[in-house]
Amino acid sequence: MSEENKNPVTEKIESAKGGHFYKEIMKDFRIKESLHGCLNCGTCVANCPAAAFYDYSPREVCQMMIEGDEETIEEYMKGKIWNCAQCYSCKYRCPKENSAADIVMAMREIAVREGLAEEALAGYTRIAKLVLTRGNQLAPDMLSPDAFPDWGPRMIELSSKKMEMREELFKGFPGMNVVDRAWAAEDYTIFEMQKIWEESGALEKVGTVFPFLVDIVQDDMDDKRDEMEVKINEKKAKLEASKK
Amino acid sequence: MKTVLVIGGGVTGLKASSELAEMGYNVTLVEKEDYLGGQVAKHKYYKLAPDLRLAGEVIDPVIKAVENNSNIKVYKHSHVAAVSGNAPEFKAKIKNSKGESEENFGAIVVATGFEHFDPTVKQEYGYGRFKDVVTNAEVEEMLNPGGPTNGELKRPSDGETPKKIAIFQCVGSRDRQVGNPYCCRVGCVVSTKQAIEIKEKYPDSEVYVYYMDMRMFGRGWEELYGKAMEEYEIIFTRGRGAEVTLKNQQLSLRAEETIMDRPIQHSVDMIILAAGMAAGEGTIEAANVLGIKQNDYGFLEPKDDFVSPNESSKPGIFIAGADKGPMDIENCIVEGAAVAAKVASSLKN
Repeated sequence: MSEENKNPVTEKIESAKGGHFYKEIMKDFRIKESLHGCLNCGTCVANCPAAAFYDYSPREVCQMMIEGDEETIEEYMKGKIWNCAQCYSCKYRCPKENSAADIVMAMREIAVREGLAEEALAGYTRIAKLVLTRGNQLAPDMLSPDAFPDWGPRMIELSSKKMEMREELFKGFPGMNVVDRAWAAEDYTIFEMQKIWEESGALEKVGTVFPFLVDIVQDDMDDKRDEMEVKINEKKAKLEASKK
Repeated sequence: MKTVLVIGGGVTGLKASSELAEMGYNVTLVEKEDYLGGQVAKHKYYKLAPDLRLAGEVIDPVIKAVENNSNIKVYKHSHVAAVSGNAPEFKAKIKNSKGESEENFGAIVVATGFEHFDPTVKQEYGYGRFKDVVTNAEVEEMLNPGGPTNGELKRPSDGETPKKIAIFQCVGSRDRQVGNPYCCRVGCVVSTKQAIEIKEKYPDSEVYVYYMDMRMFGRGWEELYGKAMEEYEIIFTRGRGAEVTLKNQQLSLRAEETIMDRPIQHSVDMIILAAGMAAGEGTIEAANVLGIKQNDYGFLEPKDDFVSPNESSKPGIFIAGADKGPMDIENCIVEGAAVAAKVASSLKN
């Protein structure tokens, strides 16, 4: 059979499944338990809060992984998978017990590793900075009607008086009377957390997407380092004493 | 002449009993309810697909053939409590409210059938929480003039006739979440039949069927499906019914229109769940008492699906009908006759 007469459909599927990203995703330990074929029933999409508001479909995620088309997978890893809210409704409703949410989580990790995530994650810079410098990811003043349509009108209405509400709700807890972060942690706690980011290699991973955030965290740590080292030694001594 | 014990007085057990009796065997038929006819009688099935003929036209002659045959002894409201011995010398203890008796049998036929899947466990459909979410079996009872609503389709919440009706296919079928990954084999045709019955009776109503595949493999089923779309304007949407909520006192369902590739919400007056077939309590009890093999879903496992479909894992114990897996009435009657022939040939040897 000549080159021109080959069935183009068969050829596409065969070559597509050999793709690098496809293989990397299939290697992930979660995939075996997350994909048992797909009935195309749409239960996952019907229950998916992300599908209701954004350009995302858990059914497409499963279909895509069954078909294994490398180009589609790459496109997804750069864009649509970042719209999943990781609520796992798809997993708990799917009649095939598939879990698009788990597939998405594996794809996200690989996308970060493979350098496909920068553009999609650019919008999360503020959240990432907050996590790395304050220890919590969302702040009440990040709530805006444009950013979170899926939170509904009631939440938007309440967001206009969040400081008053917080002061009322958390009387006697000054750490909670803030709106630029979820709560105010002590300097020592933040420093400890940052040290964990650093030593576990997580900070380095963050650096592949947000290189400038690594500098911010390191500056932040340097500012506090001397003071914190003293505290750490104090705590160590205390611990030693309690052992005796 | 040896006596045959038949467990289960549904279509299959009835047909097996009358066939065996006609061949000259004595038959003891044990039925746990106080009536014969199994699920057909229990849920007052009204009309049968695909011909829309009355279920009574089919089941009544089968019951009469048993009641009018003096070779058949019928124990209603009874169950088989214990069985001992081996083929062809079994001893069975039959229990009922009047007491118990022990009798000898040459062979045993298990025709304990199925039960409608209980959709309460599919919490997202709200069955049991929302009154107007009903099962297909409940609709059969309603449509039957001898049923609780004298043949009228009524919303349980207010007794009104619903105008917009949605039917969910595959409830408790093709679903690993509830442990039933198999197809119920009848949901598609029963839903289509009920949709047509509703449209015939209430031409102003709107009927929507939410399906994944329409599995119309039986005699005349595909034709019925065509008729439903062309003549009755029933709307078939490809997408599994996913969730039911109550919005402003009205049922609201979620699904994906998978052909149009969009998630939808749909307000309706009533939702009918096409609940599938599960192994009945009677089947599980029989399997325990007789020590015969069940498959992963509780149904009885033939010795060999292809070669010996009516033999259980134990010699002298035979199985037939919907206790082996989902089966329609037409095939249950065939199975009843087939098992009778198998029993007769085994007793001759």
